[in-house]
Amino acid sequence: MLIGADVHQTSPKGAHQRDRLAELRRRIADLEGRLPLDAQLAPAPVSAAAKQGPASLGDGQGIPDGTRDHVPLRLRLDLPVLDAVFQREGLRLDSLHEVVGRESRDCGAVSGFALALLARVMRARSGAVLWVSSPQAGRENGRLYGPGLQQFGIDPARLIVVFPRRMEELLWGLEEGARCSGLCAVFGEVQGVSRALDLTATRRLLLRAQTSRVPVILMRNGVADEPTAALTRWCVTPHTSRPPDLEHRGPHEAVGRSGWRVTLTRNRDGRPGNACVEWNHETGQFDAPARSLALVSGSAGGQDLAPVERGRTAQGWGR
Amino acid sequence: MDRILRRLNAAAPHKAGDVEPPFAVASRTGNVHRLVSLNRTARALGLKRQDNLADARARVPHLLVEDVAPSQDAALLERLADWCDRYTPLVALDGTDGLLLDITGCAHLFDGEEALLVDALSRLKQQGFVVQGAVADTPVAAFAVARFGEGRCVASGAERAALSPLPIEALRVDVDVVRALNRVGLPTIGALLDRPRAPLANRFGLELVRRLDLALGHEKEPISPRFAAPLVVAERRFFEPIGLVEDVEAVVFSLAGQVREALERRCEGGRAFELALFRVDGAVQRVVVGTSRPLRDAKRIKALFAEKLKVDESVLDAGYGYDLIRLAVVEAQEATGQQLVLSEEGAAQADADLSGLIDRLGARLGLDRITRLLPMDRHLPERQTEFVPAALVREDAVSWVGFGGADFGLGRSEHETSPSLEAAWQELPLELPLERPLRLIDPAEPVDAVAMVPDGPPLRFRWRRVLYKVVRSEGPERIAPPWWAGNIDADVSGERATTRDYFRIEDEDGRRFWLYREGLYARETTTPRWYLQGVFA
Repeated sequence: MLIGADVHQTSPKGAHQRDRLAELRRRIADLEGRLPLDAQLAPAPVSAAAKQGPASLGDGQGIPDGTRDHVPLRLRLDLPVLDAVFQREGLRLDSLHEVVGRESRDCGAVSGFALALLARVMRARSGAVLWVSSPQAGRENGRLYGPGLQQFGIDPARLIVVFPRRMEELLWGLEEGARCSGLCAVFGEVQGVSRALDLTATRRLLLRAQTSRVPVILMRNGVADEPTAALTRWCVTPHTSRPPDLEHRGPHEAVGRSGWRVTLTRNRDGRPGNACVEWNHETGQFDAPARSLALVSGSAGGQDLAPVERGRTAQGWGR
Repeated sequence: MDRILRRLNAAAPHKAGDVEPPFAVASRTGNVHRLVSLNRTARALGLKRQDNLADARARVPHLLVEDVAPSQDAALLERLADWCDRYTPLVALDGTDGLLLDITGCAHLFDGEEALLVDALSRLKQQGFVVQGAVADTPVAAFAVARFGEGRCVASGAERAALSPLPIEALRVDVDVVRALNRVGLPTIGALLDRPRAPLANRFGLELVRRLDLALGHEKEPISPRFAAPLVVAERRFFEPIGLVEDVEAVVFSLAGQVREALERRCEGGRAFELALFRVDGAVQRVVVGTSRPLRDAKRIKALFAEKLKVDESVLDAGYGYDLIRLAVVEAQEATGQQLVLSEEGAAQADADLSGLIDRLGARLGLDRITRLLPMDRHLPERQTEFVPAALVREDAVSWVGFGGADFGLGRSEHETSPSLEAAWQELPLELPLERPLRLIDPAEPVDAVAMVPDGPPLRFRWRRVLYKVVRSEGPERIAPPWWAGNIDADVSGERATTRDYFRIEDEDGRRFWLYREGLYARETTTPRWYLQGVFA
């Protein structure tokens, strides 16, 4: 806002230069697929937006959340530690997000967090969810289970589950879905490392999502640090649950709420970090595990979003 | 009255040309090889069908012989039948070497029956077949004239005259009957027609009289076509064959426009469309697409086929080009007034349309791969939900509201609970745990578990070669075998299904699994087995 006001008060020539500069910056940001800091503060000049032509990336960037078609652009996760890492509060909806797990046996935790995100998205947006699942994922991790989904806070009736035969078909299906603005979200599930799912493929998905404003969530299990164009990448590992009540302690305590350790290893819309989160399936909200309760060692720092090492992820480092 | 075109095809491969070497196809019956079919040269040399192969070889040493290949012959006949689709949708196979076409109402499109017959025969001859054909009012008469007679087009009511000179075999009656009739001096059909019927039936059986009636049209015999006649058909013939995908798509678009009009008149929309591409060399390629919803928008029909053609490049092997393209509606469903897309805005809406997406995905991946999760009212957990093709599902059938009930009454949907009920739930001090896993491993995988006897939770278990130590556990939740289903739920080995005790467990690292012990210790089994069936969040 401030910069925008500044622009209009300066001399015509200076204004022109600044306009140009802002436009160039925006274009670079477009090419890199990220949101420039000044662009999100200043409303985009109309002329600049018009001149950009087909670069649909720029369309939504200057527009405040929630004004276009009454579809919210950002989704608040309602957990301060999670919301605070983004440039503005909440997860961008018109984008590609990755939820990854390093070990394939952690598929429960990875699916859990991904589905929790999906559940939040499904609350915020209407429509059906296109779920595209690779054949390996079904074999390795099991198939979706309706009654479990329902308890978890996801209405299975809103899912359209697609079983492609090959990776190319899966990517094509995801892209087709991401083009269809009537959908609530597109969810892709991939097991293991795949050559087809490279930087280009994820970039295509990202562009589609930005055009149609349909969030795409990609769940990749059993991968290390594959290149991706996704806006965020959440690395999920399981985390011991907090027992429901303290009295019932013994050699075999009851299993508590689902909880995970989540590391935001890549965030082009803010800064990376990590946290321990719990999912309250009753209310459909994320919770931070209370410190006073039996938190296992290692999660002590989980409250404060400790920035992870710079380097790979420094691009999206917010200031 | 059906006008029947009959074509006799000697199914053996014949080669065109004036000076062919003598060639025969032989088949083995018992211990004797006999000739099944011969070419012209071989016949000119005095060989006949059913000759012994050894004798034939002795008489014609340079005879070329090929073994009979019934499956290839059948495939060839099928291909020819496909090709004959250009004349009528009702094509039936007739034995192993004939085709039966019901051309009722089609002949005028080809300038009459005579012209149609000539056209069909000459085109088939061009393809290198030796063909005989006839048109008649009844299938039996057409068969007789085509195989035993010379007359090609039998005028309506002229069956008597046409059939009279033909031998009795032409009626396709039992060999014994033919022999008996010949013995008593009745060699032709004409001789039978003048006889009183009762003695004939008495002596030679009712079948003979029935065949006569069928031949003369006193009794009707339906033919059984290979495919049901499509509901709506639009086709276009080309003087010059076309071969480019873009051209084919453009033709599909214009045909789809015609189909749409017909569908609108019927107040229907198509659920399955078939595109038949007739290649110049006689091959016919068929592409079928299904839709999730009655459809008659030409643009979308074209888009579906374009999608399909894109993925199956093998389908569109144009060769020398197509000379006939036909679009048929195979399956239709009632569809009342749909809004026509008029503006750009409308087109954008169509893009956002869910059923359009399902159709597009289905055209490329197969409609059976686009599924919805349906709740099932079943007892065993792994059967309580099923993936059903989305195209088969009515929207109101996919309701998970109130699913679970007594089984796990805690499952409730976030949206459906009334506010007061929600408040009541929130007053409960205890949070209800997740009772069912997010993902189900089906079939459940056996694990090696160490557990407390007789019905304690597992202490550690090995799954996929990794050892897990159980830290927390909940259970058992006992699910008895469905006694009412008898042995249906017995597993593959045929054993009776046993009681399952389910446990939710968490390992040291926080992975949560759903395990069950099969069989009650000491009551149903001495060594209960453990299975891992689900993964929790």
